[in-house]
Amino acid sequence: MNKTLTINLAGLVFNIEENAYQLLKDYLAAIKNQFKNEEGCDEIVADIEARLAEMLKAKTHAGKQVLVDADIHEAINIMGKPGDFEETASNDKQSSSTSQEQKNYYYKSKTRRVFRDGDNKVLGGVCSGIASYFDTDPLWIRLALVVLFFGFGSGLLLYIILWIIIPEAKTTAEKLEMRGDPIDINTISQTIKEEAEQLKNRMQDFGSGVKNEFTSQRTQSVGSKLSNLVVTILQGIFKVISKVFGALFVLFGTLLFVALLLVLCNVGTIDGLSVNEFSHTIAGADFSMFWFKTGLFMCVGIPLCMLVYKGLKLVLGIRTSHMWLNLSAGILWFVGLTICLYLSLSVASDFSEQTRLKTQIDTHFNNADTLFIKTNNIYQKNWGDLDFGIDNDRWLVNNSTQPSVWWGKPRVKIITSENDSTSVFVTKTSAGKEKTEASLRAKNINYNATQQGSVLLLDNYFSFLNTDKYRNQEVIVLIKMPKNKVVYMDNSLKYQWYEIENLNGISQSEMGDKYWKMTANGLTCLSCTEEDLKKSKEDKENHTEHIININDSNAQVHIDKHGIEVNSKDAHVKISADGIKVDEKEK
Amino acid sequence: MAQTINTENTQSQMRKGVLELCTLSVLASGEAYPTEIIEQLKGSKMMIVEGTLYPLLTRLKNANYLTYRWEESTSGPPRKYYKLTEQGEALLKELETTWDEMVNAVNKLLKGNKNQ
Repeated sequence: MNKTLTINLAGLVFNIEENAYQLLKDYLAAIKNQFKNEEGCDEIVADIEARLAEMLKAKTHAGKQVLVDADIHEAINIMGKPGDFEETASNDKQSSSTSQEQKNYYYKSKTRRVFRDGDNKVLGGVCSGIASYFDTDPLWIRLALVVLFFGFGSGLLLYIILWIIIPEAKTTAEKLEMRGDPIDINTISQTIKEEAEQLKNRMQDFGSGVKNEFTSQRTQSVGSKLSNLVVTILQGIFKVISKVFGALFVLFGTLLFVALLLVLCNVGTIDGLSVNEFSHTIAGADFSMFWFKTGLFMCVGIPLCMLVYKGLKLVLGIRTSHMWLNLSAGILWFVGLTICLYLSLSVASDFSEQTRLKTQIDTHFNNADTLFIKTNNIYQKNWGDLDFGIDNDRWLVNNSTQPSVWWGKPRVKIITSENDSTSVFVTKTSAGKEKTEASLRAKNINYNATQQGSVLLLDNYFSFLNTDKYRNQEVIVLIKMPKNKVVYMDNSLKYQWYEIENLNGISQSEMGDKYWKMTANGLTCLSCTEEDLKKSKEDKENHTEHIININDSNAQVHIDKHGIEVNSKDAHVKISADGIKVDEKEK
Repeated sequence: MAQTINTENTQSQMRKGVLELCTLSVLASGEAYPTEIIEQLKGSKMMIVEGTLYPLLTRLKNANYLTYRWEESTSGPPRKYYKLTEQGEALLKELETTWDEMVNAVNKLLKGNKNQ
């Protein structure tokens, strides 16, 4: 069952199905559009309508009352699509006649549009189409594309994208448009002149509309004319903006895509490591690089391709959309994302369990002697070592051996001993999928600390083989010192002092090359100069903190409808509708 | 401008060139309405779709080569019966002469080349 409409075509009444009506309406609109610039347009359209009515009338004779799609299709096939109409115009034929005549007699020439040239194709006719758009020989475009093809295959990609988005010139009208007026200075100025003419006419219409407003009630039409004008101007602006954005999309899309290809081909680096090195050290040799790269390509490359695609569409003003293309790109992107997520999670699960192995180093220090903490330079950075981490040379990977070796810097912590002897502990930490795996890795870490008289000699690096992979391996040296024992901290461990309490407020990295005495609450400096202390005080003042000690007996906290008020011996803080007010009290 | 010649395009150009002549010559034998003109053209193997004819007739009429009268039809809307004006007849004669000359010239060339 279908809804029918009643229409009047060239004075005859027809019952027509809704779909068929839409078809007929579109067809007539296309015809009208085809002849819109011709003198006698209305007459031509009326003639065609009359002929269509005649043909359709014949259809309803056979006891059938309603017109369906098939009837309209048949009539349109006899009449021909606008693009199939042979154009009797050819510019050289009547070159002697005046231009005015030509304008009336012939179709107005169309501006050029990009189409694929199916008559001149090698593959899809993309190059020949572009060549005829730019008035060059297709050979040059083809050559350029072949050259681009050797640039990481981007030529191939570009070709495929262009093949998809540029429609083929199928109808005669499209083929003519493909070879239409070239876009050059002449045609551009011509177009601008015509646009200006149209605008002038519209303004005149508008002006007369305004005049008429006073004589008759034509506000409605004046309003609609004004809005039409605004819409036209806005459309123009929008067109320009969309072209600019399109060009930017194409530019950035292409650049990023090339960057992605470079990274995937191991040319680019992540934090100083190429993708292969990165995955080999972090993910391990058993990690499927192929799938990771495929996933990454799909996950990042597809959105970039779509960006280029949309950009080209904007630039070339192509409105046709390919549902299947969008859909398959979306699906591929999702697949890529899934692959990446799966692989990342499988690596991440290797970090789920953490194990500590704590061993005490055999040492006998005399409490009266000063303890010297020095480094034993068992490893120096080699040229060619991979180097990463926030601190300088925090991690080094030496690839000259098989398997490669990881070198990491240990951290050193000094606390007060519970008894009156000095003891040294080394804690090796590692992560793994399971506890056993993690503790095996921790065991595999090589690290030595030895006593030489009053010197504690610490290896400057701990190491493990890359067969264990990087799984958060860590070494912490813990030194417990009795009260009143003096320690000298060598500056070679400058960035490795780890949460060491000192009563002078000196920052960790500045604690080296100084003598310290252990107290119940941490180290106190024996050899610090006035300058050191001043510097630490300045540092502290730069980050002044207001600590309100609620524990002190006089502290008071009020919470009421006015806000919150805190009063202690250090400060007075009030949070109310007026804002937050802090007053520091003199100690 | 580099443009490759292709068969379809050339054929189409040839048809376009002679369509006016053919239409005028169909009307030379008497009044006719568009469908009749089409039938005659198709009968002589001129391959065109009907839509081509309507703009052509309108142009020729506006250029005063044709004139028409309305006639009621039993099978649809009223029809336009076209006939040649004096100017149209003159144009037809002129075009026929050109055509004959051209056909002779082309044939001579084609045959001449074949005989060589």
